[in-house]
Amino acid sequence: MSPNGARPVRAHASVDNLRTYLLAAARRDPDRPAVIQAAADGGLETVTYGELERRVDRLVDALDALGLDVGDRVILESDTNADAVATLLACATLGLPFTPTSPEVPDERLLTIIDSAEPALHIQSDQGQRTGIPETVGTARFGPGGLTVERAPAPRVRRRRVVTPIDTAYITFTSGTTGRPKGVVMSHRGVIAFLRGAEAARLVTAEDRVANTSPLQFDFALFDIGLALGHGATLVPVPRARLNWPRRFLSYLRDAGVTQVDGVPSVWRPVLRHESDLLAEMGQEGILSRITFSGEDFPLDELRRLQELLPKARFTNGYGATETMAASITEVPNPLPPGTERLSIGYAVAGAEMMLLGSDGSPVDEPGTIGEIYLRSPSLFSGYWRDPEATRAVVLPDPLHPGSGQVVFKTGDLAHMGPEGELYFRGRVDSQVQIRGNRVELGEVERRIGQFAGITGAVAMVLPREDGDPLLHAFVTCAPAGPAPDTREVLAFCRAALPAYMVPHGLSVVDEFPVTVNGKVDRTALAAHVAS
Amino acid sequence: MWDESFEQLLRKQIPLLEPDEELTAELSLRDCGLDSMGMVSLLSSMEDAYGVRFVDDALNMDNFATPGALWKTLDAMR
Repeated sequence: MSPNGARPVRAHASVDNLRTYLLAAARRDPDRPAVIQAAADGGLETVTYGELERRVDRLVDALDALGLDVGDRVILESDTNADAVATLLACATLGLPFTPTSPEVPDERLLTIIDSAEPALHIQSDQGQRTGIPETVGTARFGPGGLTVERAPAPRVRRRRVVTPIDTAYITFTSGTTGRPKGVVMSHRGVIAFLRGAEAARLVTAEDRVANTSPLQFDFALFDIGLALGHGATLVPVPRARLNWPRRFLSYLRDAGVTQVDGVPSVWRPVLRHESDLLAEMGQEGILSRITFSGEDFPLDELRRLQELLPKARFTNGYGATETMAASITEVPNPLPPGTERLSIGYAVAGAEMMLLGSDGSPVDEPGTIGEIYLRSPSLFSGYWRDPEATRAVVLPDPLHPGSGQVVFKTGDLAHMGPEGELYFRGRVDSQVQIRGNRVELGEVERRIGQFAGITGAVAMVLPREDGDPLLHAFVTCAPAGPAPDTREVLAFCRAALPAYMVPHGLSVVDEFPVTVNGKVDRTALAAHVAS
Repeated sequence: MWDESFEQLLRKQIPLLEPDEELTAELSLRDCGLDSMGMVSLLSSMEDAYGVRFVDDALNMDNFATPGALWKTLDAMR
């Protein structure tokens, strides 16, 4: 019972809630495997749907006792595993928005997120190493024994009685242009609407074992969890220590009986380069039935090579932004027809629709003409956390019927239409880039570099490399009298505050930035500077 | 102490260490630009050059943290 004597807060079974949706299979068939994961002894362990639900309920009781109100944020710091999934479902049950983060996130970045989200509680696994969580935030650990509270959150008044579908399920923080991470607020209704729409793509059956390779703070991981559990299938999180070594990655997939692998295209690059024989063997066995990728363009030569090694597998291209969880799921022919220059991002998932608008705001009707993608979708996010201005810039009245009160999402993604109305991604309207599938605002990288003593200006950009692995590179200008900054020190300074994928690989000092006739930094000229 | 071939292969994967800078046993390879992709390339080139195969347990980030740690791991397998 809550302190003010009301009945405990729960979502009614008939109401959309991430917990209810993802644990439906637990009711139908509690003995089926929900998660297969690495066990402490080095082997594998299976957690059934019934066991997962018991863990969720035990965590619900423990969290409920802390007296948090619907809407109070919880930071969930963990690798993906059954207990992390149980914890996020326990939060969902109680209407506590969770913010997923992982042990690799640097302290300084986590503190920035905490400063912005003002969470009631930080939860990590009983193996977690994180220290230095501010006194204002409660701390707890989850593990086989349930929840252990280290520092209880400050007492608060509960004003809410009901968890509604429009309450926040989670807030994911992505790179932000202002130099602070940007919080994308997603409701239960939104995420479930996306997952239901995705069911129409029939990617997964209850017999599948879906490998998750993305870290928890990347919403691709939430997609994997949603897709696997939503279909009563089995989630197989690949431990980070395995993923980094192609040989161990592949043997893990084989040992766990994985049938599908979800991941950014770059997870395949080291495998293709160093363990193609082993992958070819697995391809002949035909165990891997589907590869789903998302987050960045798949270099076509690498994709073709992967298809050669996995001739029996189906390939799926996921496209879309965190703000709507994703937008489209498109089957990629295996093998790719000769002459294919670009992968289709197809059509939006069931229940959503993409539309192209020109820069003048008028619809683009002709195939081949580039426009910006506007998405109408029931999985539209609630807004950017504490940033109504940024929200207003991308959530706009329906251009076709502005009087209806309906809104659409201005994606910032450019595309052109093919002959059948399918879309092809053509870049961004701004300087956002994707690095190993992660969304990066170059402005955030530049801002951090610019804070280094002696640096007066910074421009970051992604440079293409012949071997297919693009590099983030920074150009800087320095105070005239001062010494040139030490590259390694500047990069270490970045590493202290930015996730690894946002840390540049190299640094070049220039006297001044070349500018175009429009007065903007001439990025092409800068790129040539490195090449020479 | 390591041999010349080891140093050459290693230097290829740490672009931030200048050619005239000394490769010391305790140098942080990550600070010198060795990322996870670079580690896998390094592993592959070491295995080819020394005719060894790193066992699963040897494949962890700690063994690739410094030249000293990596040489020790490799030397134990030769």
